[in-house]
Amino acid sequence: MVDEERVILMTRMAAFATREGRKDSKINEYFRSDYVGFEVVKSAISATIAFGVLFVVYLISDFEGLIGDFYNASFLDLGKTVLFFYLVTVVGYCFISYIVFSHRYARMRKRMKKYYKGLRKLRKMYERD
Amino acid sequence: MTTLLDLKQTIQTYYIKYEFYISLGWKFLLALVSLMTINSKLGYQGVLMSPLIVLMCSLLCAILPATFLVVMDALFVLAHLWALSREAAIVGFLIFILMFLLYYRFAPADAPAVIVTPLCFAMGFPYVMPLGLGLLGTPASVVTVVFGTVIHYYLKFISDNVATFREAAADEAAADTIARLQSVIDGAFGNNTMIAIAAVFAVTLVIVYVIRRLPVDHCHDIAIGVGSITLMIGMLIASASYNADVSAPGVIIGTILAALLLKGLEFFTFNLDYSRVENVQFEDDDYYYYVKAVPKVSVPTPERRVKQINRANLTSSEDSSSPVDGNTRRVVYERRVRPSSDNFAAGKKRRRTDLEKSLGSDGTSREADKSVAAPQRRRQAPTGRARNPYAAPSKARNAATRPGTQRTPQGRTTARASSGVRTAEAPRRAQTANRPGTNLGTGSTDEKI
Repeated sequence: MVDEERVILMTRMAAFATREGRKDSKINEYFRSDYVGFEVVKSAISATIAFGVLFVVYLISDFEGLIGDFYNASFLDLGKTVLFFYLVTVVGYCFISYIVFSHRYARMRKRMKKYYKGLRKLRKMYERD
Repeated sequence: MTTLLDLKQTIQTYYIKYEFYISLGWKFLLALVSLMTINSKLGYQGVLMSPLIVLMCSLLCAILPATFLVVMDALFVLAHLWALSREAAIVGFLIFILMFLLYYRFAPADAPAVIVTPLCFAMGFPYVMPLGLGLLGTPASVVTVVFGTVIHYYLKFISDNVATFREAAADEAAADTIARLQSVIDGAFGNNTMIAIAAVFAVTLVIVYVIRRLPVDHCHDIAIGVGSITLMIGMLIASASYNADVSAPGVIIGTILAALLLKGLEFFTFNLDYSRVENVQFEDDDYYYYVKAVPKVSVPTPERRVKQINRANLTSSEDSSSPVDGNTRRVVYERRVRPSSDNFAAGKKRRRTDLEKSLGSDGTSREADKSVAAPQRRRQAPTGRARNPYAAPSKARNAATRPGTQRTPQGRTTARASSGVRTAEAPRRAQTANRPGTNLGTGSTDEKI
């Protein structure tokens, strides 16, 4: 005999598991610090590549000026300026990533707690039968 | 309003029924329109101009996730640019790389907006994007609008300078690659009009988003109004400052039309629960379950009013014709039928006569009896077998029974609604909240579990 209440509960849980649950279960494999740290590292890599692209664009757009000042320019000052902008870009992007992914992890934990609560309820139903 | 609500119910019904096909259809249409627009605007790669190729690619986009739409469009654009000029293709590739690297890590769900923004520009109706994304999106949608604007102006720059690119390609041996790259980069990133319009769009989007999140009545209307005014002023200033090719009447009329369009969109988006049918399968020790959970479609009921029968038996604080819910109706009924102890015999017949007069003699009174009995049955339900362990948690249920509260399409409950439509729906939600399976599959499974 099919237990209607149990089917309803299982349907809800299955619906969650097939949608948000897929991503959430992957995120849930990590501790918060590991997950956020890993995402921040990936963001740092992305920001580095993006900064490299922008720097190349800048070099090309101001190519003649750079060649003209090649012998007069101080490479130390240029390096400091480039490093400053690089750090600003990467740190800013990583900070945004930290906030976004921390918030995302917190929301995932809320959903997973509800899911586990449903699992416990389901187990009690089976034990009662 | 009733007609609109009926239309809303009809759309909801059809969306629930044909959600899979509708999803395929809009992705196919968006891909088809965007690829055809790219071909008409650029059209330098002869192979991609074939309708069969466009059709096949659109079908592929319909099947694959929405993010693939952007990838397909980017590939088409780069192929056309490569056929015209390698430098243009390289700069285009850099723009797309920046977009994917910086933005799509956070919000890949906004992918269609990147395509729709240049399409709206091409149709001469771009003002709907900052208002629409501010109303429906997140602050991260600023980046979507900015990248959409950059892509539009870059493609416009390319199509405006086709002759120059072709001459440079014909005289490739003598041409300087660095110089050509510089000219393309200057055209792509040094366009002050593009920067000004992107900034105006970004500011408008943020303003609309901030206002629509405020806990005030009619915040969506206020957000649309303030956003429209901001957009008009900003566009006119940008046009005057940088000689942008936008006309003042065009800006004003376009913004007003966009605001009206978004008013309609707001009705269907924030009042309509686009729930989805759930097709799930699972198993236990005894059975395999193949379950199709169909969300219930509820029809909004008109606001009920109870007419006062005997003013002498009621307190002065009760309004003679006030909207009430089921519980209030029961209280009024009990006051009428329960006589006081001193004049029970004399008052019994008279009160029954008064009651029959006010409620009607036949059908009306039976309906009234049902409506009176219904709250009692609901109140008794938790003590018996029918107690529903899957009803919404107490906080959500309490919020659902408060007049003026509203469930958002994401399943959250907000206490912002104050219009007549929402308050009319509140008692209905209160009645359906305790029925088993009422909330099943309403697109808010994350909250219910």
